[in-house]
Amino acid sequence: MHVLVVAGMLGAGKTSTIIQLLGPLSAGGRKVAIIENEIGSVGIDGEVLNRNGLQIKELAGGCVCCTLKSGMIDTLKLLQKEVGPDIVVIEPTGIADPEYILVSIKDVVGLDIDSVRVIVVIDGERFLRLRTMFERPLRNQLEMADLVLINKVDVISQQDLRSIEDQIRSFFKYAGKILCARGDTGEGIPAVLKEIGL
Amino acid sequence: MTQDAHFIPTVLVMELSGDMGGASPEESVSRFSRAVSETASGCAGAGGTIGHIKANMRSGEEMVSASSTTEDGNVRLRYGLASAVGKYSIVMNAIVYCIGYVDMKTIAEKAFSGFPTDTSMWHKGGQCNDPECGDPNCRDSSHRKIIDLV
Repeated sequence: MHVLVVAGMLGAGKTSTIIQLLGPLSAGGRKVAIIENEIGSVGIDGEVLNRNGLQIKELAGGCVCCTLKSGMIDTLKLLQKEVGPDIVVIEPTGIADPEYILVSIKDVVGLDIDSVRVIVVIDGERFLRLRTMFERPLRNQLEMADLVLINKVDVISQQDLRSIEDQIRSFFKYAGKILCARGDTGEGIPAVLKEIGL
Repeated sequence: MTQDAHFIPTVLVMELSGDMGGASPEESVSRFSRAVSETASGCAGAGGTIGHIKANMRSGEEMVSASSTTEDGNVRLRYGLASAVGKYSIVMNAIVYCIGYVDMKTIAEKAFSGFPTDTSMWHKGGQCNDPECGDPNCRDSSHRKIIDLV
């Protein structure tokens, strides 16, 4: 199974992006499962995803790379055994470090993982304002990114967008692909799937 | 405040339920949206930086979802209610930096005080209960695994 980690700061639009990705990901009869993590003990994003007709496994109560590490591994094994998904999408909380997720699932006996891809969703509306405060977690996330997706581009100017791209590259030293999208409408999403090879 | 400390958000989890007595869906959604907005702007006014405030309001099989990420209290709604609202339930996860739990709870309680409530639960979320987690970024610094660099 292929694993797709959709990371990003709190409120960046990870859930909305996943909702838009799911239709194309499941094209051709592929089975897609989602592991949803909530930092609050009551799942909210799970209800939103359920409303879109999706069955998800929710791990509420902590960040996936902290409290629920063994929960995530067990969930992946359970999904592999009972559902046999082609693709598993993991949405960590906004404060999770994707590297820790990757390290946790790598080389786990009993898990047949064909590939792991990390998309980092950037909040286009707030990045410039919060970049300094969240420099460290942003750097952690961008270091692991296979693709960066700047979300909420409808509410920012072209100048701000260029500034965001420039800072992602020059300050955070990210050298990979950057795409723009709107998680609420799905604009830009087809290019995302093409880029990550799913 | 240490650099580490300001990365640790305060997480407030709220669950309310009650009866809106047949309020119109428009009024119910408006009240819900306003409460989430006031929670966000209230936390910002108290010095907090919004991580994400998200809430769902259910009435029967219907649900409206609210999300706020900015200090101006702007709320994005998803889905909606179409029928008059009797029994309802609301769940909210409010994740805010640079603010204490007590202050957050006071702000949220005031914001949602207009809802007729039969039951309410408030608690602090996001705790790590696994002392063996070893996560170098764990919110509980005593859980973090020390890695020798040499």
